[in-house]
Amino acid sequence: MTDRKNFLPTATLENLKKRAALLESLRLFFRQHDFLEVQTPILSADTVVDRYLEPFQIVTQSAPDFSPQKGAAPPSARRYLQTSPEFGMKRLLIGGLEKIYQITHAFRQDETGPLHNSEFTMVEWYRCGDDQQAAIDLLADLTQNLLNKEVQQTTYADLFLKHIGLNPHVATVDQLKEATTSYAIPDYLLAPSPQKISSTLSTGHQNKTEGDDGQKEDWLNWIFAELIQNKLGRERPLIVNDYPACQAALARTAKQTFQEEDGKPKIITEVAERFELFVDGIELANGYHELLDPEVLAMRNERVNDFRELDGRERLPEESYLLQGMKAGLPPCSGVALGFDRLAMVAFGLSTISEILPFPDGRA
Amino acid sequence: MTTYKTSDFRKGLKVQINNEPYLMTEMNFVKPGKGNAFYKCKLKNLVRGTTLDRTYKGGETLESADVMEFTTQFLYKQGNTFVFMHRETFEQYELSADQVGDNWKYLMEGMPCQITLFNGNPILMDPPVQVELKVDFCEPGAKGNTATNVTKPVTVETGAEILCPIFIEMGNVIKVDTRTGAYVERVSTS
Repeated sequence: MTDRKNFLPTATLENLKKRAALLESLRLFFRQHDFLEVQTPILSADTVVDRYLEPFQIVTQSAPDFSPQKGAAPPSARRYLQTSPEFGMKRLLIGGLEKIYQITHAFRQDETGPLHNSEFTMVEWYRCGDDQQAAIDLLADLTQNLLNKEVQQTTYADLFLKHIGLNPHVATVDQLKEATTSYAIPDYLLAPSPQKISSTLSTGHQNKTEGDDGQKEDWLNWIFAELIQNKLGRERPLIVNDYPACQAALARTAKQTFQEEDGKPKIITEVAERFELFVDGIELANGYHELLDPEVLAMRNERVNDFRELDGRERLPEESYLLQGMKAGLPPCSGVALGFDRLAMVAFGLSTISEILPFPDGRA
Repeated sequence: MTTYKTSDFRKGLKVQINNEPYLMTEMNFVKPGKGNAFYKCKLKNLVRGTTLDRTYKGGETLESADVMEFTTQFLYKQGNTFVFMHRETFEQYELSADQVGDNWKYLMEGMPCQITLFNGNPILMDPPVQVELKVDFCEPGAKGNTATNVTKPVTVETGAEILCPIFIEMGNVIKVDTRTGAYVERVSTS
């Protein structure tokens, strides 16, 4: 109320000019690497099924005018603003493109804060044939190119070993609890609500690598977000890879062997071929060695929806054009999503996202 | 009573935890790319003034606290009870000496005071930030000692003792900061 100039941008004109220049450098990078710029629908009947991402829904009042093409169904009355362009882009890979990138807007409900805006700019790219390391190398190249800093790499397990002395892939909830007793642990972890995924709800999830009962996931997330993340990428950008299998999302999982201390047997566990980029404690990008198996995706979607239901959220459509396409065959590939506004923030030394957005939530 | 969802959390919200009212003085939204969102809150207990750090997960809820604040007039003290009157409704509210705490030192009849009700019961009383009080008694200041950093206790009209500069004399009116209990300035010398 005190600020009567809400029609003006929150970002300085100087920052908006720098932002535009960064966008140019980004496009140049992709051009030099032979990537094709694409545009996929922002509004779609499909949406990413994530336990903690809430898409904006658009429900059309009446069936939209539609001249049916051969074999096409009329558009659904309920559509979603994309939380990322992942589905559309993967369908382009299925269609035959091999190196694509997109600069687009993504939308997430209830995400507003110093580092969040419910509408933000996402850069996403895919390259066929890339395994996790090839995709990490490309992300490191891009980061170095744009931020002019050499990039380091470590694993999720090494970070946990370093900070709390436990291997996150094999540690139990009790061990995680014990290792963090000196911190202010939130109530929802200490006294988890009785709303755990019950055996009836998890029926059909025979694949044990698909994750824990959700409680360990909560612990790992809290420890990572509260005790570790802030320290990451302080001197140089840092890429973290090999996340716990329960955080695979749309990444594939791989068997990994951990050598325990002398005498003890080796531990073989599954990790997600997922990686994230951190600069100054801020998460900038998230990448996957992409999951190809439609059955695993269907299973994960169902599990996520079971959790969403327990959380009191709506189930999201498990069927999708992507799932159909994956049955036809998604070529082996890796993909990365990068938050462009945050990249600009760290590039220009800004501390809030509103300094780089012209009209953030509250002024949009 | 309203239930606040984490997405409603913001600075200034009044909520109830363990049947006590809290004011949300800070709220930080943290949402990693994977996993749940966190709402890191600082909550000030409106009765005891203590601060609580709490982290909530997206989807958790807090009950609103039925907290009301308005200005009253201090009427009188009877035994251990302080009586205040709403300036518009003329309704009277009673607070115990415990609830009033050190603020008794500043209370003069007719003084405008802020009263906070929780679930209809008074829990807090705030006098004006600065009050003017007449000095009833003090030792004479040593002649010629003009140093301002030397203080002496004086007794004001409410019966409270306030530390004042040495030059303050009986009959002076002084201004006192009720948040700290500190002498601010001399208002008059009559």
